[in-house]
Amino acid sequence: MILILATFTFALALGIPVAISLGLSSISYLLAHGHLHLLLAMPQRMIAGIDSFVLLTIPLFILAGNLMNAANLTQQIVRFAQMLVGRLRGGLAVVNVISSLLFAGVSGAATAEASAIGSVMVPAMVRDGYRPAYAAALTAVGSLLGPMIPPSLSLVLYGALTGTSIGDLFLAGIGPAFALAGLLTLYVLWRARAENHPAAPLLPRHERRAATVGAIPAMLLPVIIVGGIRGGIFTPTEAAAVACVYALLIGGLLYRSLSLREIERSFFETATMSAGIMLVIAMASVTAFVMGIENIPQKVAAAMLSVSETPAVLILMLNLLLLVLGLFLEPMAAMILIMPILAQVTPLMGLDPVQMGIMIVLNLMIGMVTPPVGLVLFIVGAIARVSLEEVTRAALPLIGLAVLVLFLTVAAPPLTLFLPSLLK
Amino acid sequence: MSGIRTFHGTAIRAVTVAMLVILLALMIVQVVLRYVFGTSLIWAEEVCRYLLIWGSFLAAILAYERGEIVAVTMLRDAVSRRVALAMAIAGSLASCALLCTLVLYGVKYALKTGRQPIPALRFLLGDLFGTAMPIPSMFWVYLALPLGLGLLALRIGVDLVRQLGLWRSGQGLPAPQGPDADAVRGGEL
Repeated sequence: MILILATFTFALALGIPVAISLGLSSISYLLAHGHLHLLLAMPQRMIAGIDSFVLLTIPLFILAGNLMNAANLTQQIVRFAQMLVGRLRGGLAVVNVISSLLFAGVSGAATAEASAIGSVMVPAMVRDGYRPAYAAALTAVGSLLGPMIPPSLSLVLYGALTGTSIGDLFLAGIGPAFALAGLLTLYVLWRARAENHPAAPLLPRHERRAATVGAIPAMLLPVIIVGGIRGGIFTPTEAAAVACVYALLIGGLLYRSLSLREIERSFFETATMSAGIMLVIAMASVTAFVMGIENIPQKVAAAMLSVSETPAVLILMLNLLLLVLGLFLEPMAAMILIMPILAQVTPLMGLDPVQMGIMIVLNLMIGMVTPPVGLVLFIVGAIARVSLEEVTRAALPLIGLAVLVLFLTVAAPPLTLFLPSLLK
Repeated sequence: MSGIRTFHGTAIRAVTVAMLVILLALMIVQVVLRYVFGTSLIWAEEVCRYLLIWGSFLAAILAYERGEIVAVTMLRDAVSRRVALAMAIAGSLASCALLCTLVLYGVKYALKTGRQPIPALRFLLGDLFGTAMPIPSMFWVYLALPLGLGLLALRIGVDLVRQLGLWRSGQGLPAPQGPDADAVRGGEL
């Protein structure tokens, strides 16, 4: 266990990619313990880790998001949000939050969301006099809405790993997402009052209709996805394919902004983005396997149970463990590593598997906006040209709000479970 | 050098994009067949899974080049350029060693366990050409891993050679680059 952790940390510190660091830590364990015959299990685990029909959802949802983004949907969404809330004091900050919420309906990952919204909103906010670090931090935490609102890559992976209904998970994420969006809005309004942020310019009357029409497709996509899955019309994987066709139709016919070249580029970007994710999933599957040989999941679970068997304490410990994992790992990798431990302690926690899934995903997403492995922070920091340190400091109060929503997710089951039960 | 790079870039780009197109097309055909014709292709789901495996490993090298494979360079960016170069060399060496091991065992694994024919293709080719048609084995699915990771190892090897060249000429690692133009495009409003 110590060897695995030490190798991983050392490799990560050297600047070796996370996926390869995971592989190095696994192989160093196998070599050190003379398990040479198990080296053959590494390629087997890697292939098995990504050989899943449900995981096909990941490239397809990424593609749908990329196509929508290539079709300039982000601008459409921002314009619509500006029409709705731009006149408020601190208008652009609220526009940022609402745009993140709307864009979450086409994007399944926080990273995609952060780069799409950030590239439009951060320069706009800076031009309006907001501090770059504040604009970046708000975009970063707002992008957590991406994986909470359908489609969501992380929820798909959780569903694939645990066999939980992806339709239920997609519905369950909506409540916490709106809670977070609401809290963020209140916060930026309060900041706007305190720091006298300006209102955004009013959208000309003749543009309002176009702005509304332009934003409707984005709001419809999650409805189609969830409706299709819950209505039994198609499987999650097929829903993702349908979302791609929808994006092609919207971009090609409605916005007429999608050229063949851009479609090809979207496909290519999707291939590389999903290859990055799949490599992490494959390597994490190997690490999970190696940890299994060492009985690490059982040991961790036993250690947790020896502290207390009270559900509330167990949930707290699990969340702390997830937060720490989330600091150093991408959500997908962390989820694969935590799964065997979950299998041991979940029955004692008294949480619904759907509620648990939202809790885990939200928790690991918070790791995306905290260093050292805070992908979203890297992205928004690069856009706003501010240092990681500055964004992190500006993001702290906002991260606090995300932690509050995490607490609510655990403490108030209806927040997640009401919607799935309503549409049974 | 750059000639090879552009070649592999274009070729792999074309192949992975084509795979994604086929994947999407198959899924759509599947939905249409089920709702319009009340039937389905029994081999489609399996072929899609294999396309995901192939596409993922093959595009690994492009993902690496485009920075989609996440690394934390905080420490490397903070130390002196010379030390950073030493770290980069150590990192490239370790990465190459891991990838080469995986390539070796990936080939072994494919040879050892990949003998049985691909089930999906038995249906597909059997339907098309009759049962006498020889069916490719699972070897061809498993080959994706050593091939894709081998390309990635080569790519990192090229980086390593360049880093060693810098080291020998007494230089340090170039300073971290600013945000790329891609990340800040847009920005109207």
